Amino acid sequence: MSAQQEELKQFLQGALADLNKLSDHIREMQDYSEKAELILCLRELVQEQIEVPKSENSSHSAYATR
Amino acid sequence: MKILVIQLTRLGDILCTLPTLSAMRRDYPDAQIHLLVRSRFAQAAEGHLAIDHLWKLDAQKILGNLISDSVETKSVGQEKADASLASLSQALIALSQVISELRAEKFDKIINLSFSPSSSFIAHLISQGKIPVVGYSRTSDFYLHIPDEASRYFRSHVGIDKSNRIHVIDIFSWVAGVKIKSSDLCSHDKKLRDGGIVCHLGASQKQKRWPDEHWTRLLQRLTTELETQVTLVGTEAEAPWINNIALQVGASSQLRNLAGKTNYAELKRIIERARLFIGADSGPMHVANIVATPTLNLSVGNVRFWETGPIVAGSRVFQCRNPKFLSSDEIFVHAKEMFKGESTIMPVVECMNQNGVRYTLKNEIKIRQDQWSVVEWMHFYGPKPEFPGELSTALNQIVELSKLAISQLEAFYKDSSKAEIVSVLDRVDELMNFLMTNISPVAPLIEEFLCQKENIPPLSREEVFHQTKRCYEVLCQRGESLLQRELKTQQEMRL
Repeated sequence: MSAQQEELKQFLQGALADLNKLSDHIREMQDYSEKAELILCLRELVQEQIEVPKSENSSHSAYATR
Repeated sequence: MKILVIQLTRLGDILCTLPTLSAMRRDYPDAQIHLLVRSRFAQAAEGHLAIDHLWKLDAQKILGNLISDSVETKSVGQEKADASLASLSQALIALSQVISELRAEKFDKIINLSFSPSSSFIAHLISQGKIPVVGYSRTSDFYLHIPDEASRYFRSHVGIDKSNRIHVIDIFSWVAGVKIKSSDLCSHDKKLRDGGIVCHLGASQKQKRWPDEHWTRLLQRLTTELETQVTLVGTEAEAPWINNIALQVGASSQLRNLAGKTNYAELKRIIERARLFIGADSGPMHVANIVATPTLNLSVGNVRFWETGPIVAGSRVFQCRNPKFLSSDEIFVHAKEMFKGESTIMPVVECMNQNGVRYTLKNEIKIRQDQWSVVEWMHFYGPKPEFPGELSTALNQIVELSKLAISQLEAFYKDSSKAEIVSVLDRVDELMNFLMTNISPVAPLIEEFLCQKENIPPLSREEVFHQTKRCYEVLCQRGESLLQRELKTQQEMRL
């Protein structure tokens, strides 16, 4: 991985940490607004970009059941 | 009718989606078909006759908002937190704009073929729960929602260490509810087939690559013994490495190195003219699929060729966990046979001209046969599989656990103050997970049960109870049905 890619990944990991906090807050507050859904969507887009291992995207079996 | 098809994964998946779009165009000639892809891979769909409008999601641009402020300001402390919040808002605005534009189209139906969390949110955001969605979506409380059987099949049985044998091309068409014909698979003019052999030496992941020395030996033999032009293709990033292999092969008028020098359209033209394509399971191999060029596929590492491999009839697949053990001399023999249109007497995995399971396994390769026979029985009218000996004990346990769960659910429904019931149900699921992990043939039964259970939407307490109970009932019925077969076999043996 080039230095530039590594730097980019680090920034995205920082953004992901922020988005994770917001996502936890959304779940906690049971906030079902459109803005909340956009935040969750953005979080997934970031996760896909940095290919977080064992995310919902990379394993088809680890999704929380209702 | 206006239909939005979402395909937000990579190049290969877009190419695997095109046959479904062609089938949709045939089935719905008057429909307006829109396709949403990532702008990075949009070239693969540009100009396709089945698409009325191509939407490009520029994820880099949306996410760029998250990065630019942080990079530019190099701020610290509170300043950094404020900058981070501001950039997050910008990214959300950019994403929201894309969603608004798509919403304004007022689609009648959304078909999501991406099977990814982000696409499930995007499908739900566009539909707002008002437009029918097929494929991954979200419930009103943002849990994953999978309304159709084909996508639930994908979630339960497709992926690493899963039992699927159906090609993704056929899964996509199953999700979209259309039947693919051979004319949907490629747009090829046979007169063009005057080229030689095209080799793609690279792969999206390093573990999918065949070793350099094997490529060098194969290319030397192809260029000297077959008297045909051999063209090397690859991305710009792969070019230095491919150039190095070309140097090792030595000067030859038969060798043409175009690695890093072609755009998508040029690559497609080159592969379309070739009589044979050799390469790993990667973008160019999917190009070979859509232009009907027979492929000799080097399926190395943990690649599942039966899901994403070549589909052109007569293509051959060579699978090896460790690429070093795939001999260049053996590959050369097969390349020569395929190039000359000769059939083989050697054991080989060959691609057939049929939908669904597209491969005949002519040697000892077994792909979780025990699990696949269960999946085939559940979904594709396959014969009831056998569960002899200890395996029937596992089935018995599944049946008993399901019955226990049903009785506990009923008790809980009558009196929700009995909190200990929840821990019994948790224990049941724990044991189900244990059986799924340790007793291979029963895994598909439980995987499907888990998928059905997670797919229960937010409903009234009564509805959630009934749907959860139904999940256990289906599992129990399937287990009993398989056990009946074993009982019958045992009775016959006694007689």
